[in-house]
Amino acid sequence: MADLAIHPDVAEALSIAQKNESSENLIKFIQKVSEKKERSCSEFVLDFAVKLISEGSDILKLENFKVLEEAFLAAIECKALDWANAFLIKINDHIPKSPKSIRYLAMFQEASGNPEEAKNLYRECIKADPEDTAAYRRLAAYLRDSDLVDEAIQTLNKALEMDMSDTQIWFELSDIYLAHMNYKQAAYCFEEILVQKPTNYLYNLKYGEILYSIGGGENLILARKYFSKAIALNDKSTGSTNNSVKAIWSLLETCKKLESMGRKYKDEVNEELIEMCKEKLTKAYSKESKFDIEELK
Amino acid sequence: MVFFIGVLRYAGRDLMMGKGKKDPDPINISQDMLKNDELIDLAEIQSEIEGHEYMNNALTRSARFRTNCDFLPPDSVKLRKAYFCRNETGYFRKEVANNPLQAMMNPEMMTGMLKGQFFMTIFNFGLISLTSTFFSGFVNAKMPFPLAQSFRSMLQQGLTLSNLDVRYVSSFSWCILCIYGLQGLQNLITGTGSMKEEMEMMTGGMMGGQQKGGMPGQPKDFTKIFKGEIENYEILTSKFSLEHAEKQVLLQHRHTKKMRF
Repeated sequence: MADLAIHPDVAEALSIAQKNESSENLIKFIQKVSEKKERSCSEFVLDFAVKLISEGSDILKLENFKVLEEAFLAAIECKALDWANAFLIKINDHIPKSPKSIRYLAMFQEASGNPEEAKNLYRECIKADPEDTAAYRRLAAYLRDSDLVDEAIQTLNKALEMDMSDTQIWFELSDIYLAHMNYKQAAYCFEEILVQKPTNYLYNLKYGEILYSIGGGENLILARKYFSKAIALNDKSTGSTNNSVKAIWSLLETCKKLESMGRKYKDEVNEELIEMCKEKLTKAYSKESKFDIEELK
Repeated sequence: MVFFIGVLRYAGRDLMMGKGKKDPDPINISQDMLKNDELIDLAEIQSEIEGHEYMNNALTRSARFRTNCDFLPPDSVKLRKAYFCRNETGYFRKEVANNPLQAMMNPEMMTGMLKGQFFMTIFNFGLISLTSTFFSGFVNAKMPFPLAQSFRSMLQQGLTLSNLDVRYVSSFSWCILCIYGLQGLQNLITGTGSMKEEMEMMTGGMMGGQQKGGMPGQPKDFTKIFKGEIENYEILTSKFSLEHAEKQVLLQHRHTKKMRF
């Protein structure tokens, strides 16, 4: 089921809009998408936007600017370049020659296969306003896409100089480092994200994974702590004991590795943890478990 | 007459303040820059001047780190601490030059206000001394209603006749009444209300500014803020909160097992 990935609020708005295709519902759905920054239902957004226009609804007006924006982004994502062009012209009418409309134009160029043009536009945006981190992000994404990893990292570093508190940039940077197996740098970047929300179990899990990848006894012990934390957090939030199968597997792996590393890292906790992981895993994959794989398909 | 002089004064003040007062619109500038490549370097300078937004962001990051640093391994905490406040090269050790444009603008604003104030006093003073020398002793208005004796000092300034009815107004008092009474109308006509604003700025800015520690338009002194932040780091005590994470999980596990049996 594709709906699993969609934010519940968006999914609700979508089902309402599908049942009753009045322009009000459609607009409400698109607004919800824009509010939650949901990127996985672009087809619906574009479809509804086209419907709204053919019905003669006034989504092109300024008060529905967010809808228009969302429609443009959806059109780009679906490669409906004609529609994207139409929306872009309308956006440009509303905010002529603003940094945003120029950024959108660059995105359009990128989608229609003129990456050089897009790159120049992004550069121009940055030159005009060095604090325009959105342009930095787009430029970095483009550079990364065209295998210019060093340049992408430089761009992101520049963006971070401007805005050190931007978690998304830290995330992207850590992702790039991870993809190129530069785990220590990735860990540094990911710490920034972890600090922002230390109670998120996925962040704890991922940070543990990075530490595990760095390797070495000390890091493995740290990784063990973070995996344990992730399991504890997840058990607490979901109320069930075996939802975080990935974290349990990771913990088991780590503990086994520590065990094989000799006496220095061998302690009682390790054995107990292995015991616990085994119990939890057998529970998770047993038939009485609520965790049903069939349902997920 | 007072009214016309007021309008004149407004025009004179405008002339003196000049056109330098108009602030350029930052958004417009960035748009123009996009059109004209030659000005791009200028644009960079412009936005550097416009604000130390990125320093604010650094402060946000540092504050966020300080609140949640317990969740990071001790080595990472040390690393960040070093990055922010290492001797001489740390982020918060650097001296931040105060914003040149704003620093320049501020005295200009001050002198502008002083100019306005100066004009006002000169005109009023001149007008009052004019009336008191040429028209002293004239009675040029009569109130349509009786008034108590205590209004005598207000309405019959410059007259020494103690038997005269309080309803008669001396020219000197009339002049003062007109100057202050017609201010609202004058502001309405000149269309700015600038006088009133100026008065508020003078009184409110002086009084409130001292309490808040700086005029509203004044730039932040980042060197000072950074020093405070370094002190925060000096007293920062971080205790790794995941020290016993494994035991916690085991405990939780045992607890749930007990519940089941």
